[in-house]
Amino acid sequence: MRKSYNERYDETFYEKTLSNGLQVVVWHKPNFQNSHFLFATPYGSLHFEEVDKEGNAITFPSGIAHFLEHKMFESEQGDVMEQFSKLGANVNAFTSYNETVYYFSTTSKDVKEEVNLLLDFVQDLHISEESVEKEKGIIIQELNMYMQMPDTRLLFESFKSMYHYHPLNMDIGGIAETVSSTTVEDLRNCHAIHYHPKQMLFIAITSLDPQEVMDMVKDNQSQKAFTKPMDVFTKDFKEPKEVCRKDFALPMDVTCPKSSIAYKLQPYDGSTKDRVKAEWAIRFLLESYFSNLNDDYQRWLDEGIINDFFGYEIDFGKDYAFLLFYAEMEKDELQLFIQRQLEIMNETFMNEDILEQIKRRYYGMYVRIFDNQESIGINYIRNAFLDMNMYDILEIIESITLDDILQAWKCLDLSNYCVTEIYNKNE
Amino acid sequence: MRKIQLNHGVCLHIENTNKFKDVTVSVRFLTPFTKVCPTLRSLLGMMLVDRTSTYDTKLKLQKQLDYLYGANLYYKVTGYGKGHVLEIKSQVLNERYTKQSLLKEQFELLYEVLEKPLLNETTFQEAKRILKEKFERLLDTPSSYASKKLLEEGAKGDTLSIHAAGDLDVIEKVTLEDVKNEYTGLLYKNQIDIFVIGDVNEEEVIALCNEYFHFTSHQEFDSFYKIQLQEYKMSSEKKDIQQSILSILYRTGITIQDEDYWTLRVLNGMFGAFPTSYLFQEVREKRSLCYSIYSSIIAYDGALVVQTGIDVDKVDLVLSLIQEQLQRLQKHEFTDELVVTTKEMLKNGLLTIEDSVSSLIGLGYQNRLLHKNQSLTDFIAGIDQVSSDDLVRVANQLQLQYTFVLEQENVNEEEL
Repeated sequence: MRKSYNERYDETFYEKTLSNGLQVVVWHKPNFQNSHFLFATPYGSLHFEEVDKEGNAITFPSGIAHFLEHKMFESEQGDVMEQFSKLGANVNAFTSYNETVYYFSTTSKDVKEEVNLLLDFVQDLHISEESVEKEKGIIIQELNMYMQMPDTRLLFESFKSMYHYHPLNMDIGGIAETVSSTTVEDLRNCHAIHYHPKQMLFIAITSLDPQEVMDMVKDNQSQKAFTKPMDVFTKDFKEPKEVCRKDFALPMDVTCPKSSIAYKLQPYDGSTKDRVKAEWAIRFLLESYFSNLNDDYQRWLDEGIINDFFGYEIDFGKDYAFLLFYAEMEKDELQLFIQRQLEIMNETFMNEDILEQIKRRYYGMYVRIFDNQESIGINYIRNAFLDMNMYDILEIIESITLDDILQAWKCLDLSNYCVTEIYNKNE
Repeated sequence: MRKIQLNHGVCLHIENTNKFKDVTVSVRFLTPFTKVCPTLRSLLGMMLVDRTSTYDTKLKLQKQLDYLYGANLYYKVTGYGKGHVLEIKSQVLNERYTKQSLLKEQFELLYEVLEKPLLNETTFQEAKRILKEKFERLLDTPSSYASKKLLEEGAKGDTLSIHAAGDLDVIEKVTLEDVKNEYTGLLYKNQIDIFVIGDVNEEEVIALCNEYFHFTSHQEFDSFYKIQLQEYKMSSEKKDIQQSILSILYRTGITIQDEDYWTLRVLNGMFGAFPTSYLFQEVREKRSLCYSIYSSIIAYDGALVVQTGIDVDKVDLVLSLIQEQLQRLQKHEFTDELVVTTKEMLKNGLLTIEDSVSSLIGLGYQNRLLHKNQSLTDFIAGIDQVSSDDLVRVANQLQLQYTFVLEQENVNEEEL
């Protein structure tokens, strides 16, 4: 067990890789009543289509990562949620683009049973034809719930407009058809490939004795045997540079029209650290211009161009990249507005003072993460799956220079974009 | 948490702990709930944290916040029964993570925000437009719309029918003068509580409060009450959505200061607050009729609500299933095991209060409103005392008051 103390943040964690390959981390929070345990696999909604060594397709119905997440909660002993509840613990899970995470929290000081439960239910898929069928109704209601939230829907439609083939064009949970077509066999195969300890990470954020927690995980794992899963690789989706739908409007039963302009960018070519750095560099530039750091921002509010529902998202993924602005206005207006502002931003560009100000802000925001057990867990997992650690991000942020920002910005090709709008169907 | 009466009638609560990396200073203003005050206080909250007379542009205020290492500064409005609370809260890193202590600067900033506001026609019009559009946006989300409608209709005539963030009807009518009056009331007529949580020196905090805060506190009143009993009614509206929202209001007749409160909490846990609850088990797990279903207590108003999202043709079925689950509880059709499990879940949740600054403030404030000094140990004792007979008795006290259905129309048009 390797101890790692960080003087700057006054934080300590321990880590060890078990003989079966499972990476185990115990983040020590001596003052906390609650303990938080997470068990994660780097398999998310973007991975339903992959390839094997020879390049043969391994394809599951879209939404399978999320479907699997729902179905893991059945075990030989019955309903997993009920078993945790009996111990006074809260268990849950979530699926994102790049990972699925199972977690529980408890204030109990004797957590052996809970830790075993978490490891066991995630490593053993226990389903039947009947239970898989029954879950479909629940998942479809979940998709429906998101579909009728206008903010979520705007993003969803924007992604659909940007991508022809890349799985970003699907909801995390898939669509009703693929959910309905998912079989017991799909789920079993998917679990066998993507839940091997070698791929996974277990992290505890707790005041309990780190060695004892580590031993619990070790003891549990030493009693299990795993067959080596087949190697799978990212599929090349042959996604064209061009967007799928240039201009799209969807009527909904809403009062406020909303729209987005999304720039489809070429995936970043370079190391993960450089990619993360470039993404932050662009984020800082946008923050210096499209926020209250720019005096024009007040004018946009005063003139009624924007309101508090205005923002942007920048995401440099492994095999995709985009920049997206959203606001409550019509799509043509938004397009004119953003394009004009980007021109002005190019001319004025940000200065050293603003950069230092933003860095100081992010330092504070970053330190604050360590007050929240869930945030520590999720940040640790996401960084670890990118082969980075949590402290790397702050170092990257602090190393960014104006020149880095200029370089990163110059590299962006903003010629492929699409506009999407949700408008009031009653008008 | 140490409680100190400041000489201007204001109550200061200090929790000195090195557990958190921030120092949090929160000021809560309590006033009787009226039809217009939530809207006025939302506007005021927005205006206070947006600019001040010294930091008279957003940029200047943001510069100061960033100088304080990205300090948080925000407002929040909440209903506590008959009381309406406007909270102004700031969080700044503590000395360990900055080069020097910024506590004085943090108080100075709050002084600026609270005592040097920029309340003029320009800032008012901006806040008004943004708040109006916030409301419209909120009501575009079907579950929020259904919740609002349920309380408006089901608790007609009671405070609970008024949204704590304000109202679209009111916002058109209010003036800058109204906001200014509300502001004066805030500083001189409200019940005021200051919470300071973090690694601080208590004497220093008291001195800073006396130096920077000059408001006086007068009002003291009981904010809990019980919604009136009304004859059961049901209404529905149609909307072009993918899922129908079913919302139900019950009158519990029990508020947070009643002896039966912990019984109600356990009962709610068995009814719909946990995965082991009857609602989750019967409606979702056994019959796959929904993704989300829950019940929750509105503690200061003596009410309980249930909400779920389902297919339109299942509304009647689910409505009767929900009623059936309550009847099971009323007829003592539950095991001791479920009672024990529910109690464990509740206790676990209570123990985590100490890990979160906002929960600690919530606990301190609850004690303040109830004129009590309860600790987590008292709460746990309260839960332990709940018997099955108590649960049956309280379950039978629940009265179905109103059902609102936001129904999906044109089911086939928007198939996924």
